[in-house]
Amino acid sequence: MITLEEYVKNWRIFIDTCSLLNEAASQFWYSITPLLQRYNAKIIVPYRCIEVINTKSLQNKNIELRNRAVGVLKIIQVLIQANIIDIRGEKNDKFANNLFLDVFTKYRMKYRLLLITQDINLARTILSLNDDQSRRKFPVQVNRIQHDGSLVEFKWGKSDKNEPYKNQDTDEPKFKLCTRVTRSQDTQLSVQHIPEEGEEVYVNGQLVKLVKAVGFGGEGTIYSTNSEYVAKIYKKKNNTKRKLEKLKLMANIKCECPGVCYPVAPVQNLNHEFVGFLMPEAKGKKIGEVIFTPEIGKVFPNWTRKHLVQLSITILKKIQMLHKKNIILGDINPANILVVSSKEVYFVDTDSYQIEDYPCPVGQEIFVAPEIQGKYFPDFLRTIGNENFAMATLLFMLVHRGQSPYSKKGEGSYVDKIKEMDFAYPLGERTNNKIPDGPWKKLWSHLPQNVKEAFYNTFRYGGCYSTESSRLSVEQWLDVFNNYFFLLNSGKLRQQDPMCEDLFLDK
Amino acid sequence: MNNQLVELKDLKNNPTHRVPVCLCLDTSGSMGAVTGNFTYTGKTSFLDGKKWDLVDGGTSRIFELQQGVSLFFEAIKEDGTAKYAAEISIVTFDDTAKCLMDFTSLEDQRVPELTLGDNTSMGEGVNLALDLLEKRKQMYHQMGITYYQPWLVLMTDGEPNGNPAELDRAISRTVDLVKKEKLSVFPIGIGEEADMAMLNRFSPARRALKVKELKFREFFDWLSGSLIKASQSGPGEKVKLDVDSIQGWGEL
Repeated sequence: MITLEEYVKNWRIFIDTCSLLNEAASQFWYSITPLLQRYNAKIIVPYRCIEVINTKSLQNKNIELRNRAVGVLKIIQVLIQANIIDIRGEKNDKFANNLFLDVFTKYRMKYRLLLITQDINLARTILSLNDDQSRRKFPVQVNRIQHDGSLVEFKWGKSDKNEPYKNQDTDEPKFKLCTRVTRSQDTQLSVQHIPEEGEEVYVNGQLVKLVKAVGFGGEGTIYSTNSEYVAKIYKKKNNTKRKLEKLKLMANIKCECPGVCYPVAPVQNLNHEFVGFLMPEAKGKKIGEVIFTPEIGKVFPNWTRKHLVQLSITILKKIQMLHKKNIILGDINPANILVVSSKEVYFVDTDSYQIEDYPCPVGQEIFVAPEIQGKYFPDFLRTIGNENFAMATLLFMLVHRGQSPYSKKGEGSYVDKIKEMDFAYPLGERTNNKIPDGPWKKLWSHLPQNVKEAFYNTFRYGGCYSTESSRLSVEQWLDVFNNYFFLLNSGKLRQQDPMCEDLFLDK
Repeated sequence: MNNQLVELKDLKNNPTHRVPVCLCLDTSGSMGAVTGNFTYTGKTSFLDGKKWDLVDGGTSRIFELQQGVSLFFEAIKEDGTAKYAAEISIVTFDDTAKCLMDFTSLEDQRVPELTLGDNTSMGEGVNLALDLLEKRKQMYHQMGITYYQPWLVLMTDGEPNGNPAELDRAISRTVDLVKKEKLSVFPIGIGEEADMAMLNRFSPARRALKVKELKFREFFDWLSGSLIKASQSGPGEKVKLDVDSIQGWGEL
């Protein structure tokens, strides 16, 4: 395995259009930039690739792709100015794929060459150069950008040369996707005794002690234990058949996502009756209390918008891990996410997640998509589209330090406002005087255009991401936010807009 | 003026969805009634439509009420969300109705001293409370602040003896708002003489609660708990009476 540092130090690195457009590209730039600066190296981008991205940025059919292309062009501008990329090209250049083949054939005698592309066919073509193992030539290398922004080699299985290296993510165990609610009822199980502080319980046949009550909720009490985990012990009425079956199912498929306080094992009392479950301990404070209220200025006095964008990315990555396992969180809300720092968060109340045919039985109205408003949560399964509405609402609130997307001037309940989808924040020239008084209009106006477009098209009636099936997925939001973070972090946005990081804007 | 500007800025800068609460409290002469250890002075007085024996010592209803309101404020201020969500005003009624404390940020509010008057102008009190809530709602609409259904907490230990027309108007306004799901009303009777039938007329959805004397703490404890719960759920969500925690002190 060649490290990124070695590549930067001793190799000539080229990047292809599809990698530039990849959703994790900003994370890739973020990690490679310091190395390039240290070794005074550059990544070579053929001018042809920029032309292709430029064409994509002007087309109208696929707005999502257009937005991505516009974002990438902005990043490319920054990278050129920062002396991180080198654009090369000649008038008579061929299409990029043939160009890479020509260039690599020509220069592999002189340099070690790395191509970054997502295109398997191009990778195969370039790597076939290695079939000629002449001593005078260096072997060429082809990598692709992974979802976390790191590079990985293209590999083919031994049995079939045409089978590309399998992404490990897809090998992890997943839950089934279901469309019908379980027949298992929410009937209360008989429990003779609810264990309390100082008492012992069984976990997988082992005795564990409930040391101290550390939290009280509507459903039950959380205890520290003499194990590395904490225990949630339900009140009598919450020990139901449906809950127990769901927890067993959850504990069967592990979810080792740091910060997600996911059930590890069911807990039984000394009579071997189901009373709760064991999970990792959470830290931090509810984002509803310290991010979404003016408390933010006291708890995180040095925070700027960059921190909120980073916090959003941290949260999105956890949601991404859960979605990959086909878990729908369901009740996404600011009391279920605890924050320690912009890079450290904890997801709690995970026992309410929608798992296979077990619905998430709760929800907060402001996060409930218009198409399922008013429905009784225990009776239906949420779709990923429903979930994407909740996620978009949370993201809007994160970058507006708690202001909710449909709060606006005039009468009517918030639920009515969700259903109307009369999003008050403008895109382009359209003016609207319904935005709440305060810093919100300014906070909105200092968002980059593609972030505004993403929110606008999600929340505005008729927007291209405004329906259950068209809403942006977690990957797409990660793309938008990684891009935003890159622009903030590189200082580029500040050059254009000195107030882009200001959180209070109330002067 | 300056204070008002600061307050307005705070108001606009806080995106939390609000729960406006008006405590509409009886401060008629009967609220001076005491329990506990007391001695008769031998004197009598005519107050709030009744003849009373004057005593030394004991604990008065109004003293307990004052304590309860203070506890309520403290509990709300201690909760991270409720402190930015709850907005509280206090109306008292005796011979007249008074706005003892208007809505403002909880941080700046001190619990005012409740003082005794004579009669029980309940209709006037409720009308003033509804006016304050209405004014606050208008302000929310103008500023674009999202709010939950407002709460009216009506507490009395007797029966109304103010203007009957005002009382009828107060009842019909309250009932109308509750039916339209634009108000949650919590009518509370204090002690044995509270006119529960009258309180029930204010509340088409939920029955009035009778609080035993000197049990205000539990009530306000429950009220702040419910308010905290409401401030963490969705606007417009209905407040459920947690019957389990009420049974200890209330008589349903």
